[in-house]
Amino acid sequence: MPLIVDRLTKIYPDGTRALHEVSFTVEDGEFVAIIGLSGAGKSTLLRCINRLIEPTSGRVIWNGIDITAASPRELRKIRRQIGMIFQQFNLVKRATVLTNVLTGRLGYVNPWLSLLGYFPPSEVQRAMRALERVGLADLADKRADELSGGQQQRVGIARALMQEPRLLLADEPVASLDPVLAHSILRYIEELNRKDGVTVLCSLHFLDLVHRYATRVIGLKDGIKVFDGRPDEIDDRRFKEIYGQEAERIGG
Amino acid sequence: MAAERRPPRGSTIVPGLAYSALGLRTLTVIWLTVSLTLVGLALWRGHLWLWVAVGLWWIGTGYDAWRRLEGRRPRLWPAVLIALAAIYGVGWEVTEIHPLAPFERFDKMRPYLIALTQPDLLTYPTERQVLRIPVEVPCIHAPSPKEVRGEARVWLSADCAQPGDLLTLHGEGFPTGPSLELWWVNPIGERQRILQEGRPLSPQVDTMGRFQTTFIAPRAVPLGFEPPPGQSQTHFLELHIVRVIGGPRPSEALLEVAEKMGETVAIALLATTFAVLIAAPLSFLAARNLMGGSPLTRLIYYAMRGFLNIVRSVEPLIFGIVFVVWVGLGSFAGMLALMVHSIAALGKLFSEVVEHIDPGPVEALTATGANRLQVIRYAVVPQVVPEFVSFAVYRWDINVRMSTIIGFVGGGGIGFRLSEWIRLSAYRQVATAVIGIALVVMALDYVSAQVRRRIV
Ligand SMILES: Nc1ncnc2c1ncn2[C@@H]1O[C@H](COP(=O)(O)OP(=O)(O)O)[C@@H](O)[C@H]1O
Ligand SMILES: [Mg+2]
Repeated sequence: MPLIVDRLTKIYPDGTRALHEVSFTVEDGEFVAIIGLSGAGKSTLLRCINRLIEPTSGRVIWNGIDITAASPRELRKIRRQIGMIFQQFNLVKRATVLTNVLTGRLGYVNPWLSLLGYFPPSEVQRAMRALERVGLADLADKRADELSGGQQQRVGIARALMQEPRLLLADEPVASLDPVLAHSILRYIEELNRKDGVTVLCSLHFLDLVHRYATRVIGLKDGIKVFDGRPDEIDDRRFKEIYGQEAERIGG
Repeated sequence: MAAERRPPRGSTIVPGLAYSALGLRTLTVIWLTVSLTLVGLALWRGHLWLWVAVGLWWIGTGYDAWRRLEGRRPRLWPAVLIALAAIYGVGWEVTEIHPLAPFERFDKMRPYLIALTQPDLLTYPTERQVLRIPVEVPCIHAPSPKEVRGEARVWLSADCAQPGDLLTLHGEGFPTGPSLELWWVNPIGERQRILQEGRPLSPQVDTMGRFQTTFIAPRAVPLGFEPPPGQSQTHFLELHIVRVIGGPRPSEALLEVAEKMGETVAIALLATTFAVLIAAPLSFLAARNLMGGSPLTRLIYYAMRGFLNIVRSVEPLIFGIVFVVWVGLGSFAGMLALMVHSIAALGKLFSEVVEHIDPGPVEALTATGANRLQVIRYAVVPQVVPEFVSFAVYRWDINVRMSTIIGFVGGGGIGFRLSEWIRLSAYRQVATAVIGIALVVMALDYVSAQVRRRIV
């Protein structure tokens, strides 16, 4: 079932128009890269999809359900199937790696027991499997802030894995990492996309990464969708439309 | 200011008018406020010089307004100086500032300072031997010396006396070691120490084993037991021979200070603990970042903020008075007073901690479909616990200081005893208490600093 974004608009209370009538449809299994200058509205778009930010108008429909009209309870049910990873990883730094991964499961477990810090053994095993998948099983008991940036982002991926997501939103997941690490992280995301069939919406900074991983590109400029197509369709004219006339193309 | 709408020069006679005519709204308000204040002060205190100040203020501001009118640089400072001088002058008078008082009245303080060097810390177990000499009060017959024999021999210069008479006690055959005390016992058995110039009299035995001491027969007739006219009553003079039999022990005052300090620390500990347990959940309701969601939560946020601010502005001492009336004298009242104030103080601090957390984990866990409580439990609590603990320890430290004071209004702990000792001029006991408080407060200060340094 597709993800339909329909005339999505976000105007912040201070009057900033971060998104303006953005519409597109994403089919299951796509790997969509969102590109655009900083301030173009990429983060706002991703957060409007799972309503971490309330859109001002427009609709987001996924699996036939109108997310923008969901009640708080329905919204939590929807969110638990949408994984999200962040540029700053957003781990709970003082908690252990294992606890951080387990929190990905909070939408599924008994809420009262979870408040007491209890997770059933089956969930702990699931968390260990997720950690194995990102190659961090032996660091399960470390505090999250003792890990390197690349390792922390892998914990972020493991946390998203716990949700058994059908859709993954990634907001510049590799912008704080070295280029080498960037590829290793994106390969995990690619694997999720290819093997598990998870639809991916991922904002990216570098065009070479877009070419390497994405099946489709959406370009934003000042909150307006200015490009929607295959990565290889981005020629010089398109590039300048997205990034402005002064921008120069490096590599890619 | 618009040149074409220049107000008439005459308006500077009434300076506030000129300011408002010039369109200087803030200055007009200030001028009005200061003028009213000065006139109010002059009416209240009734001094001529205050009226002079009012006049000078008017002239000064009028001059300033005139300069502005002429397009020259403003010159307000002379008027401001005059207003400040008047306000501080009244302040000085009202505060009854008397800079020499601490020096002139130093003698009031001296006993306390001396006592600080000799606090009541130790006592020595003693054994006392008592020699009793009957004295008839008042004298009906001609007085004759009265002698008592024991191991030693003592005799009094008369066997009867009027209150205020000088009596002399002689003694022979006394050992030099023990100290001597003189006590007066009235007919119903009440005992009072015989004083000389306000200090207990303690006759010194010379090398020959003799002593001689003169004192004034005290007024010791109990009310309602006055003898019928023409008759006398038998009082007793007691000579106590006090021998030290054993090493030093903690004095009664020291034991009491120790016990009451323990009570003080416990009051503070319980008050702080309860306050933390209540303030921690409340602080989440008073944190803007968690309560921004809906109009309802925002309402709760503002209500919580307002509540905390109001309660925090009330001194614990005032709560102390309230709770002493409410639940009765004692430690429980003091504990409640400290607890209520601490809830507000900690609630405010805690909520600020919550407001300064990294929002990233909150966002991440919200995105996983966790509910609000789960988000708080897993994304907020781990971030705030160390700082909560640090503030709680600090608060405990503050509460120990406060609970020493809260006893003054009947809230238990050392303060209650200290206030009694001060009233009774028990200098050495006051010194013991003050030293005890200082030591405990310093120790806790150190502990709390260490704990906080380790945590944050
Ligand atoms: N909370 C906010 N309040 C007001 N303006 C915001 C807020 N968040 C983002 N913006 C503005 O919205 C625009 C889009 O921001 P963002 O979505 O973060 O862009 P990107 O992720 O592409 O850099 C920018 O102009 C940004 O300054
Ligand atoms: Mg962004």
